[in-house]
Amino acid sequence: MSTSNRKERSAIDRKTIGQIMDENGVGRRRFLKYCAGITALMAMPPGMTAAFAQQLRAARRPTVIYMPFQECTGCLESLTRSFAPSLESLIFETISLDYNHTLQAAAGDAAEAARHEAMEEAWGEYILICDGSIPTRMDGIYGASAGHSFVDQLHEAAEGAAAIVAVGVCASYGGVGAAYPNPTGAVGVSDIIKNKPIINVPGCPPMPEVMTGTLVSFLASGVPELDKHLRPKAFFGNTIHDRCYRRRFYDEGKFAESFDDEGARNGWCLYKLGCRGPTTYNACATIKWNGGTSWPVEAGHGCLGCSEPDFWDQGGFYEPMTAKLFDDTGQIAAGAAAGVAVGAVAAVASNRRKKKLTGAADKETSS
Amino acid sequence: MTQAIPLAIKSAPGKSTTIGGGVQAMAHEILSHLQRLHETGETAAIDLKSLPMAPDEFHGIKKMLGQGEIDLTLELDGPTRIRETAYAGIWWIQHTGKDGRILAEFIEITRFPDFLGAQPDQIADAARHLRDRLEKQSQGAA
Amino acid sequence: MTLLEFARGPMLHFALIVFVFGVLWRLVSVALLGWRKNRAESRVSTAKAATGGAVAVGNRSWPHPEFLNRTAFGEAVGYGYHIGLFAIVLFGTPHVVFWGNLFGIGVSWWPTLPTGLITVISIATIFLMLIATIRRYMHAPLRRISNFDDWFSLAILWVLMVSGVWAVLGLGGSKETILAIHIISFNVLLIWFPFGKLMHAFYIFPSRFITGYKHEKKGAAS
Repeated sequence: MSTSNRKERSAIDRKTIGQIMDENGVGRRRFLKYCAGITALMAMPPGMTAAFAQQLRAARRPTVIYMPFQECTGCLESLTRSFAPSLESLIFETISLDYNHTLQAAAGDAAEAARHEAMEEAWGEYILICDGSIPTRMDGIYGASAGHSFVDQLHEAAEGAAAIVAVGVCASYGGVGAAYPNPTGAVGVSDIIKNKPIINVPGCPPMPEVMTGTLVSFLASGVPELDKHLRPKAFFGNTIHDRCYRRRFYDEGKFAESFDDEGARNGWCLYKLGCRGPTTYNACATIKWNGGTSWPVEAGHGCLGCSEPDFWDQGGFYEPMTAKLFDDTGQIAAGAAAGVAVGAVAAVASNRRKKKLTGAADKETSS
Repeated sequence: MTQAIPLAIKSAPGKSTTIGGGVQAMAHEILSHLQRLHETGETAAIDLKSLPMAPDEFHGIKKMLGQGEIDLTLELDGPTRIRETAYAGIWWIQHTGKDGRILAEFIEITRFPDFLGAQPDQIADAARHLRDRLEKQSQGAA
Repeated sequence: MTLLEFARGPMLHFALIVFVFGVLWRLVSVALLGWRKNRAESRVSTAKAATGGAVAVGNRSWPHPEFLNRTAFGEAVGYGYHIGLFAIVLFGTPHVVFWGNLFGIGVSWWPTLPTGLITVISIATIFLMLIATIRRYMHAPLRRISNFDDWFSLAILWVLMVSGVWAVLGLGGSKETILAIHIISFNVLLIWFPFGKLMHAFYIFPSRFITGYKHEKKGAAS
């Protein structure tokens, strides 16, 4: 990158989002409308929209570095799904996405150089977005890019970050990479970085509105309120079960027993078909997918629990969350046999002892 | 796969199923906000997307509130509709994206919706621009 | 491994093995004890004696009228929470699904009660258990004869009931953890069951029957 570009970039980066909106001809009311959409998404009271819009306008345009690790790119695909110019595309116009393998034109040394330059210029202020788990076995050799292991890259990139957003269940907890038997020693970002604010936005993939909503919320007012898994409570505060439109069928005891049966066609509860709704915290039931079109339960398939840790290892997806999670290869039968045997021995021993005592007593009475 | 199975999907609740508080309950809530607006000037808003409502409840409350004198549609990357209901002080606001997806929908209880008003910093900018323009004109004239 | 995975995985497996082992041990050891040769002449036929046994099971399920004014309250409370517990465990949907999965059978034929009703029954059961627990402490003779067995069994039931109601009513905390606690307390119940007074579940009906049978044979009222 040339020196003049660098100066230009610095000038741009000092502008506020409000200034950038003005320069791009995005009027106040249009911006306010987008903010109304975001506050509705986050279940904030509508009266807070104006204040939120002001905070967002006053925020400085951030540099964003997006580092992919052991991932399938599903999270980025989800993030870039936008339906016509919408708030997702607005966010992309708002942030300065300075590094992203899939989206950037540059490659190789040039791309790495650009990343380091962007990091240096915005040191201490850039947002680091990570997706994919980080393999740690054998010094992290299972994942490497540009000659460095993912572990090293994460450490380096995290050092100058203002905050880290771990997108997807892999970056949050390890995800599919960490599923049994976890051959690469895959872990989430928060298992490695301990000294930076981390926001987990899990899901497999996470919802696009949740990702962009979290970014915008961070820009406007810093790290939002997080739950014990470091997920924003605005999106991950309720279980699917508590917001499910089929909940009344659960309460009434009306369940689909198999796919495509009478109950399934009537839209009844999918608990018996393995729905993880009761223990899954996510926004699918309210925000829905594909621009509000539908979501798994509405489409007739139980929730997989894809925003929860270890969701891959919770037993069959078509068995309920409370199902047994063991394989009995005759141990219970063996226990039963042992019980009968011990019982028989106990009875025989007891009878023998009784006979001995009564035998002695008989001898006494008869003599 | 030989033939398509004829599927009759019924996933919506039956007619006149009441899920949330019902039309009456919501109307009472709106009334209490309206009374407070009258007594103290305090404004309020109810996010319609956040309430679990059956379709007929939604239409019920819309019908009950009726239509007032103002019905504006602004074009802002998709239509935004601001309606005054038949009750003064109760406004119905719907933000729709370009793809027709409803971004936000709420009932605002206020003298006039925030959205309609000019934003304060916008006014400051406008004053500055107008002043610059007038200065330029007077300079040009001189 | 998460707590829930452990609770419904290895711990449940172990608890089931111990339960089956223990219950069969105790039942077989008592059944094979046999009884003394009856040298008296039978007053009635075996069939009639068996009927007498069955009748005794019913009769002895409620105190004799002479004792009612002292025992009726305790009996009623006990029946109340037992019936409540059975209703919840046998007709509550999540439990029906659990049994079906545990025994590997389909349960579409098994009737269930609406969740709201089960919740009401659960609250009533907790209330009755509270009365029973307090009574056990306040009633001096009852307290005297209560031992670790009684208190521990009650404690397990408390954790089971409270965690179950907590999960269903969504009273806060991680749903997964509360579910895990519920299942762990069930596992503890299974492990403890064969070794204490909880075995009355298996013993009462056979024992009442045999007492009635024997009395009938002797021509005595029971």
